[in-house]
Amino acid sequence: MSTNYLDNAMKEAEKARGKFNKAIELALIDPPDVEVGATPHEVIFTENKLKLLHYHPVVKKTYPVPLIMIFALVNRPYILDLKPGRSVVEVLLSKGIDVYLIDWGSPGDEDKHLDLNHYVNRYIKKVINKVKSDSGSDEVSVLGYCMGGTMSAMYSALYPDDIKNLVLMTAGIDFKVDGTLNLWGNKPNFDVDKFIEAYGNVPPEFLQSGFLFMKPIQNLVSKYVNFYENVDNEAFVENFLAMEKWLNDNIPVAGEVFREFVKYLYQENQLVEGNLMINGKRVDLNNITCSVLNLIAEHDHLVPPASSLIFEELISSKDKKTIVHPTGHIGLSVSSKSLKGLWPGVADWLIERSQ
Amino acid sequence: MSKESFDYTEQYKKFYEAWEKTMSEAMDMWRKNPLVKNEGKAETDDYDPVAQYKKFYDTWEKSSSEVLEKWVNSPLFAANIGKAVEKSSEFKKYFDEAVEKTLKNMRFPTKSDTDRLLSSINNLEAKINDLVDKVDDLNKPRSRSRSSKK
Repeated sequence: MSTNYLDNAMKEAEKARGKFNKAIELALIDPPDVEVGATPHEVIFTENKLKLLHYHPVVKKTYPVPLIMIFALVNRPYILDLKPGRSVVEVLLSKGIDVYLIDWGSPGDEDKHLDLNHYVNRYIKKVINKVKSDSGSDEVSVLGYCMGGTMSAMYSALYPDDIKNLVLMTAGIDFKVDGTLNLWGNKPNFDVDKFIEAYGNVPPEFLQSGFLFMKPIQNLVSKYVNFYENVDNEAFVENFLAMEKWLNDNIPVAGEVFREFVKYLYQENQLVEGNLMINGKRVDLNNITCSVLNLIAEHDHLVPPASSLIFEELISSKDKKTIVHPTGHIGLSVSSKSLKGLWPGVADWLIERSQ
Repeated sequence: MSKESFDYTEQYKKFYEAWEKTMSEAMDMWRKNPLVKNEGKAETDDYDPVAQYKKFYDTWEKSSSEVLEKWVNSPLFAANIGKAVEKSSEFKKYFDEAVEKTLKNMRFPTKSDTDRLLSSINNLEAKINDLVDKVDDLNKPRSRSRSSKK
């Protein structure tokens, strides 16, 4: 038997044992504290679980039209401000944009009746009025991410005069496209009425396991193998732990709004068909006339690019642009490729329209 | 992907091909292993067992990902998982109703009672917010709002 082969194998085994111990210690035994959402801000409005955050400007004078960031209902919004150097909020603030963010909070069981009408016509409307009052500006820009983008589009269609600039990030518009969630949420496969009647709010574990099983090997094996291989890289470990904190920080979704999303959007595609009604008023995307920037993640497996691409065709805006960036759904906000290569351009687009 | 157009035979064939490819590459690597070639102390100075294992892992990862992603995107999987969720929902509803009835009979406050109370508090808060806004509007000076900052 070759001793060199055995020597090599033993050396590698010893190295591996050290790395493995370090990985276990970092991940399970003594995980370091990870600070997320650390950009200084103040809460200027609350209602129920909703908080409206205003980030402290980092320049002497900000541009007059403030930006409101509206995230999805299924996760915490600090993905947009994950950590210093991995923060969309930071990039926008450094460019002089006045940034506000809606933190939807975590719905309790008493919130299971909150529907699209409440989120769009009550919460978003209230927030926009608060931002106008706080900033002194009669106009606002809105940036909607994922479900927040879909709701932002709905709001812009219902109140076209309220919005000056609309930025959508991986917003689902057309739900009759090929995609895992579209398949799973289809009528014969998912009885959403029975589900909501039983559970009230959607449990975070339900959504979490759904997202994990969309790419099972990647999410349950490869990710941790990659972590093990890079455990000696401090910067990698910091980013990994921050991402893991967010990925495991799922929140429940209010039952009624989830039912409406699945039924009216995923199953009946009412937004594109033009027959979505919110509080008796039809949501007609053709009413949108503001400047629109549609950001799409090329490798998005949660919201297929085809779901967002159609948006430009449905609106009446003259000033509209679509950017397809080569990242995934979450990468659009946290990858260094996006933060260096995309967001400064987005900020410039907003600034040009915020004079 | 509709149920009618999903070809189970084709998908099984692809699964088998992926498995066969993984096993062939693993066997090739094993055959190239100096111990198996029985070349004594043939060039093993630069033999890296970790690199070889990594190749095997990469092949396994790629083919398993393909196979499993195809499976979770199949109508059969979606239908089955939907059925499981439906049945669990029915059971949960039945169980919750039984617990609620029992607690009500024992004159204990139930979850529904707490939810109703909390909901009322939230509605009160909303009404107060609306009143604050109305007062702010009344107190606003009639002149134009302050001009641009930049």
